[in-house]
Amino acid sequence: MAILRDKATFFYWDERRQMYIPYYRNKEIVPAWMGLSANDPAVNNGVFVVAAAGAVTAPTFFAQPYSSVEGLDQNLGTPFEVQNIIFADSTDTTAAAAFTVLLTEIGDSRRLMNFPCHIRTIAGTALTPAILREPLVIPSLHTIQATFNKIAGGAVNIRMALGGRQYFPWAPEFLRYRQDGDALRARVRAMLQRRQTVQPFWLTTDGPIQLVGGAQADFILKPGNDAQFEAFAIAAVSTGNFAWSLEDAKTFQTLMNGQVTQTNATGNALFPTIFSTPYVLPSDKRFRLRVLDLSAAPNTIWFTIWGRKIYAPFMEVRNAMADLAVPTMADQQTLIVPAPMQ
Amino acid sequence: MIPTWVEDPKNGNLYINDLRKWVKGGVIVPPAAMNPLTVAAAPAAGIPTLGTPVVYEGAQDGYREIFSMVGAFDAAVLADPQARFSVQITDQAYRRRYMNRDILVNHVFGTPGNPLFLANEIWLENQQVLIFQFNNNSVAGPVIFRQQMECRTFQAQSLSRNDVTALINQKRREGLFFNPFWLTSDNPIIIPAGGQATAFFSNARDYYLLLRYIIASAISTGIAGDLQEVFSVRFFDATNNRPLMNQPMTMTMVSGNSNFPYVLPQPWSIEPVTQIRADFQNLITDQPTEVFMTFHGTGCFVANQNPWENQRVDNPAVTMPTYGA
Repeated sequence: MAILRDKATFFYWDERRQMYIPYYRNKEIVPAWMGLSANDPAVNNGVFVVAAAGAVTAPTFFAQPYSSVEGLDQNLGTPFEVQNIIFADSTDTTAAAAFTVLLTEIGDSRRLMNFPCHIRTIAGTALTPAILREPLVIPSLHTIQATFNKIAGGAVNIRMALGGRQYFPWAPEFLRYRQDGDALRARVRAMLQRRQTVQPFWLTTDGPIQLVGGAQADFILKPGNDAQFEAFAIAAVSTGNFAWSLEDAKTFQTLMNGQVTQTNATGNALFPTIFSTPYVLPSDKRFRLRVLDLSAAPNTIWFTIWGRKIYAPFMEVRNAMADLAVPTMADQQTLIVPAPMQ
Repeated sequence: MIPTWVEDPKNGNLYINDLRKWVKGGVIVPPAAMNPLTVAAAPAAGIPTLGTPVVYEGAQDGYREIFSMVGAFDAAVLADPQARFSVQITDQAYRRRYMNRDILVNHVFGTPGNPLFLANEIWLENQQVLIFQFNNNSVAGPVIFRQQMECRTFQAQSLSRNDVTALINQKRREGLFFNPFWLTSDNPIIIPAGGQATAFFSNARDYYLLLRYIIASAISTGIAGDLQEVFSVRFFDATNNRPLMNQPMTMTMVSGNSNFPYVLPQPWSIEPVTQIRADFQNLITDQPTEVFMTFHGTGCFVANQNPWENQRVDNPAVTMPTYGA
């Protein structure tokens, strides 16, 4: 149960005093929201205007500042660990007339998606946030650029936030609670090390899928060949019902023995369809997505696979273990509901 | 917790754990005379009508671990009484309240499909009594409310088993220190039309809080402005003025409801005698907005706290506020 996990994380039992004592370090990891940066003059009190369809909207960004006290952070800065993505669009709430977003890690020069994704396939609300299986770690002074584009309709006011944890490895209180400070800084170091190899990634088609009524077509999803891609979940929005199947485009290995319908097998950002076991697509492979329109009318479909990119080669387990491999956070059991890996 | 399967190490055969017969799920409901509970309309704004206290008593045949809350209004209940009906839960045995003042029922009870799963289970001993004091804060009409709590039951037979006894001892110890806690604003929050308001959420002297959920609702009769988002807010830890966000966040970006509360990615640690500060902005431009915001989490009883270890933060005058009418 949750509290049992919390107890070990947040409290220890003091045998001498016969009471629970909270670890101080958890005071220096706070829940946080990172909205669009106020350093962009186009962001007014968190509100950003996405221009009408057809017009160009200049990119904006999420920025993580740097802060430290007398170098107490030991060069770790104040990283932010993104656990979910939330947005609010109170001027245009229709699913079809929404917008796309392209997220790019400027500091690492890495795009977090192969093509702009429909906002409703990657971001939710606080009721049902789009929870990342692989947290996105934003070190100090790093920036995530967000490029929005309206799909249809007029300009809209939007808000977007990355929800997660803010770490303060430099907190002056750690001079008093040194062990807590060491433990927190060790955790931050492990997190920063891990992000060099593993990053969240959203895989979509090159532009929206557009079918005439009753048509079927194939689309290639290209994660790029710089890393292995591990698929976790599927989210889609569309103007009509459809059926689909997925296969490895090079080996023709299929994930299903026939087409599955959108209503049975396709969630959205609020409740994505979770893979019972994540599917690893090696770096030189691609997905082929076959889509059949079931609406008998023109159908526009935005299809996004949630996953992560793993910048590491494959290795046989016996060789890896011989090389002092250490099981990492990625080795946790697959969950059937979206939840961040700890 | 109680493994379903037991494996014979000699031959690998599987057996069903006998304890599963004695440790099982269950539901607790109030006495029949109180379910449904009917509470008349408030006589005037600011003067709630108190319902008959609803008593839950632990049974004699075993212990119970309550993990979720479910409740529903009867169909005839008007929207305003539903939106203002509040409850205060008191543990009579330990003489503890589970909230800093009465909390909206809509922030405490979920629905059958989506119960509110407690951040910390309630451990109910034999004949231990919980009292639910409901208040109807609306002059618009009466309330008819039905409720239940889902639990795990450790029946008497299981108590003779060593591993269950050990678990129960652990639970009893935890029950001394931990309980669920709902923290709401010290006073009602009313934001003037298009204006701003600041609210404080104060922690008591003997609690260390781990806040896990945020639940909010709002009432406004306005028709101009952002009717979907209603308000925006910035949270600060008032102890160190540390903000939790770089921009104000709107209602649907920080809070859910009791069915789907916003689950904080990291539980928020609130030390004893400290406060949360929340700066609200009304996004409705033609009418004031009443905001009801609740944090739910775990309260850890920190006995023998040295008062000089924490600088006391004075609590703004706490009278006995109500949710108005």
